Amino acid sequence: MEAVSCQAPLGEVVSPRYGALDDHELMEATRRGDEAAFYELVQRYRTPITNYLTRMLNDYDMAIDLAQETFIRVFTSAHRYRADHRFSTYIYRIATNLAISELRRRKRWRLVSLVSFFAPPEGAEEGAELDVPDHRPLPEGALIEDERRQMVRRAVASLPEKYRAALILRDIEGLEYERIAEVLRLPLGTVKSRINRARRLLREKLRAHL
Amino acid sequence: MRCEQVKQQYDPTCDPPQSIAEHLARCAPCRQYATELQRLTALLRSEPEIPVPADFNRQLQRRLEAVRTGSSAWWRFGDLRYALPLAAMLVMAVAAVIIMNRPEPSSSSRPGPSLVRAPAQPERESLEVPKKMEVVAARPAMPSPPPRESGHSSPSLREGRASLALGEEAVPQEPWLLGGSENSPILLLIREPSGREERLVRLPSVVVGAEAKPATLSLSMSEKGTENVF
Repeated sequence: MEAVSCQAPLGEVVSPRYGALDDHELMEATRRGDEAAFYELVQRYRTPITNYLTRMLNDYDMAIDLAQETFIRVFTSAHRYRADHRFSTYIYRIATNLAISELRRRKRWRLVSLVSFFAPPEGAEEGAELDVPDHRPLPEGALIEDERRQMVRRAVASLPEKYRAALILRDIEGLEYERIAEVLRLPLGTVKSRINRARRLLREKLRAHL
Repeated sequence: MRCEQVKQQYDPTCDPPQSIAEHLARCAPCRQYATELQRLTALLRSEPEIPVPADFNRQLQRRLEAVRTGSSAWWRFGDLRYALPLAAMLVMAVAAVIIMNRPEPSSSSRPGPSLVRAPAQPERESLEVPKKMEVVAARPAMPSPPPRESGHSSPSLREGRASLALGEEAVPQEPWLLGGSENSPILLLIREPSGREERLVRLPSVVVGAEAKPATLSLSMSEKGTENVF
């Protein structure tokens, strides 16, 4: 495959010929140093990965940071990539690992941080103050909808991380159970059990809106 | 099939198997549960897509350039999210070192022994008595019987918790030592063999662990003994 010379901003406009390639072919081209192929992958996955990370962390800025870190790892590890799984499984796995590392770092930091004096009281929902800012004026209906949306995000973000990842991948991102099991490296039964448990917890939290 | 089994196996994103469907048809609470899960799933799936910033690729390109030039680690290190905790840890480490190396207050400012240094001292404290000096009397600072002239030749003086080992040249002529109350220090009168110089050593009630340089006073022996010294 011919390498395409793309000057900044790379990836904003990718050659149409890359659109016909599947993810494995694009990774193969990336491995050969084709940056345009890499940015085609970025174009395909930046939104779902950012969405997934935002819902995992309930922190939009951090989600953007980790989404970019995810793509950097895809790029720098391209020579190790093996096409024995779907590329989407591979990239979700990287993003999941980064998100879980970040959640654990927050837990550790919360133990010693002076900022914790200003943290919400114990029992408050995690990351409740970290919703994506949107300063546009909202009509009443949209205001109610926005409030409901934030409540759902907070409820999801308050789930234990082991339930959270599985539920988001299934019920928001729409992945199949088998792929979730591959992403999380868990047995299929464990994945189903965790998703069921997460739904029951969420049902309790959001019962007033159901 | 029991209700709990249904709740464990029901999946609102899939068609229910026959056994669950039959249970739901005849069990209102489980039917209500299934309906709520279906609404919950619909609520989650209706979540709007979160847009990425317009300069996402530009930022990514900059970071990739940093990785290529080997400055990625420094880029992250320079990020305030990492720099601030590191700076705080550094400040705490420096403060801990300063506190641990802080010099102790001088013992000359305190009349009694240093309780901090006490464990490091041997149980039998050797009292440094200058050569050519002799211990002639020891008594508590509280009013006590006057010193007696006739003495013993024992080199050790013991009273209460006090234990002194005196050098050979400090054999007391009047080796008596009276422990006073807990608050009264012990006075030790040391006299040069020629009798021209005497020293009064003030010992605290507990001398075990006392520092090697007790407060000393030189004085000329007076008729009133040591009572006018302090």
